[in-house]
Amino acid sequence: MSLPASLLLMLLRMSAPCDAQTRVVLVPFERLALPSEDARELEDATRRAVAALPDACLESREDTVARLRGAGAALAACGDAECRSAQATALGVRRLVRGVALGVGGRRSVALTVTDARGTETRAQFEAPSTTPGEADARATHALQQVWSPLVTARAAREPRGSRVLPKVLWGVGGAALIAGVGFGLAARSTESKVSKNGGECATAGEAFADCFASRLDAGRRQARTSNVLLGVGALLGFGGAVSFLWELP
Amino acid sequence: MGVLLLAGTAASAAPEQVHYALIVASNTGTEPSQAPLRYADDDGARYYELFAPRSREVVLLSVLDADTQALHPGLAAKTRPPTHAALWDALARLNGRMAEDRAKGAVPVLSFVFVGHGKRGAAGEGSVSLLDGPLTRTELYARVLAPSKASFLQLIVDACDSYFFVHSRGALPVGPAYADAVKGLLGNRELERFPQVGVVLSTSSEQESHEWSAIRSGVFSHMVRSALSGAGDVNGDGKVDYAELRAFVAAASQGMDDVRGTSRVYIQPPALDRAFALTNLTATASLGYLLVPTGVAGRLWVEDARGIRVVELHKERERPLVVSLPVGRGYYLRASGREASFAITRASEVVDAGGLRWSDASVAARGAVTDALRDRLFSVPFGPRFYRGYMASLGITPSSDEADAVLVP
Repeated sequence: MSLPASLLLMLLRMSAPCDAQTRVVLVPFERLALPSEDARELEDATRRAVAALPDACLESREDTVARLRGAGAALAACGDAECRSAQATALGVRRLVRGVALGVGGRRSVALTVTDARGTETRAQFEAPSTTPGEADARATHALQQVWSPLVTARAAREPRGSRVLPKVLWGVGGAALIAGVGFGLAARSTESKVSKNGGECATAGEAFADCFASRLDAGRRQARTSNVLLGVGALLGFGGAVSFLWELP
Repeated sequence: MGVLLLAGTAASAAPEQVHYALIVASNTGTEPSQAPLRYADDDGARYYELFAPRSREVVLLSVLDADTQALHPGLAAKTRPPTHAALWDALARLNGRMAEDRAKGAVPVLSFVFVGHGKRGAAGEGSVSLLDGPLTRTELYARVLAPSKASFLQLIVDACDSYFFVHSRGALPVGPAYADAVKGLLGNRELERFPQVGVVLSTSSEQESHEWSAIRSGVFSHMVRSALSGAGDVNGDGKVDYAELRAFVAAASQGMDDVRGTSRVYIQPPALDRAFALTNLTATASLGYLLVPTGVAGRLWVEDARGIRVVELHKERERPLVVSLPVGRGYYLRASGREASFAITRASEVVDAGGLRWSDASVAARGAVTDALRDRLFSVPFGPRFYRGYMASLGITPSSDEADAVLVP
């Protein structure tokens, strides 16, 4: 994703409210052997990459810094994933992203840790050459996609497959078709019974009896045909709804 | 405008530092009463491995014993015996290269390391032992320091009396304390004439020499190498300066009765630049790196696949740390009762220790003295808190600790 597109997406996301299931906090990076300007550049690249992720609602840096300052300037140094996961829960966020920006060996790199409030923790790294503009964004995105996917997959595995919308729609439409088919069938039956009693309304038509009788007969046939079609369609949709319901069972 | 920009860029760009190392390691002493050391050659080989990836040329003058040659295959072919002739020859060649560097506008830095026996002669002149006789203080100043073409010279001396070993070797020279011998080796007044020289000296007054077989090394050199590998970088700037090294050694040895920080170790930066770094992790080097993240705390050490303890530290929990390691080897990160394996396969590779898979491990005890060293060395956490307290106790204002300020708006 291009940088402007990422920024646009980030702005759109920022305008939308976050909930505990989608809120992501990126903790300001620690740095080793790297000037603060470079560390901030890498953090910003990572921030843009997180904001562009499909299920992430990233908290702004200002809000995160204010929140951490309110909590005593920094999160407690947890020794294990369980503790870090509890921190995410306490902060009311779905995921915590931590990073260390390094400048060792003449290269810039970032070591990322993504902690899910549900207990999962994954790590990734990326190198970010200072000579190529935009390269840091691309590499951060690639690295994050590596650690983000397992979290999404893990969540999906715990939830029922699909939302069962399709069978409901099929059953609903099929039911309506059946009801309409029954209606047309009753109408056809009524027409038939009227026409069968000495021509029904056409008995007083005189010379136009034949035309009137033929017209009523056609109307009754159309109603019967429509009824048959609707009943058939309703039955098919009902069967399709049953199949899709069974398909979406967990 | 363009000229001004170019001038500004040139003015702001620091001149390139070019590193050289000359390591002299001798197990043998010049006096019949000086029992041969066991691990001075091992220390020499390990200093070689420490400096080689970050230096343009490293010279090792040592006779490696069979065990050391087995642990360092191929290194013996690169060594020369620690004699006066070999020393003068190596110095002449290195000075020639450093003169060329200076002519090109670079800053040559020479690390001169001695590991072996030291003593003070009858006339009060300190010396260290080469294979063919003592290297006296007079020779050090006249033939090593004075003619050196290095812009900065780092003198690291770890002589036998400064070792803290497990195995007592008994009959070592009875006489003046080694602290006096080292001070005799480097008269302060003479040192003032060389403001480009920084010194790292072990000045233990122990009369008895020990070796710690668990690390196959002298303890002081083990601490120095650990610090220079990055464990001593307290402010996270990627450099280990003399003040950080001094604090690191003080923390690592604080639990020992034999060592009490400043009184037994003499560390002085070059007067020309007191913030000069002994090692710089930001520089390009054929090294890999182990990142020990925030949250990981306690006494940790890294052993390579040969069983050599490369780096040891006791980390504070509240900061990350990175240590450099040679490339192309398997390693174990060990802590009390557990270990995690990893490998460094390419230069600049960073391994995140937070992602390693730990398993239970047993640490073999080797006896009472080993237990004491194992339990008490590196028993004090080293980090910003220790550093600030230590510097305050010395009345020294610490250098920048800007890396602590994580929440930069």
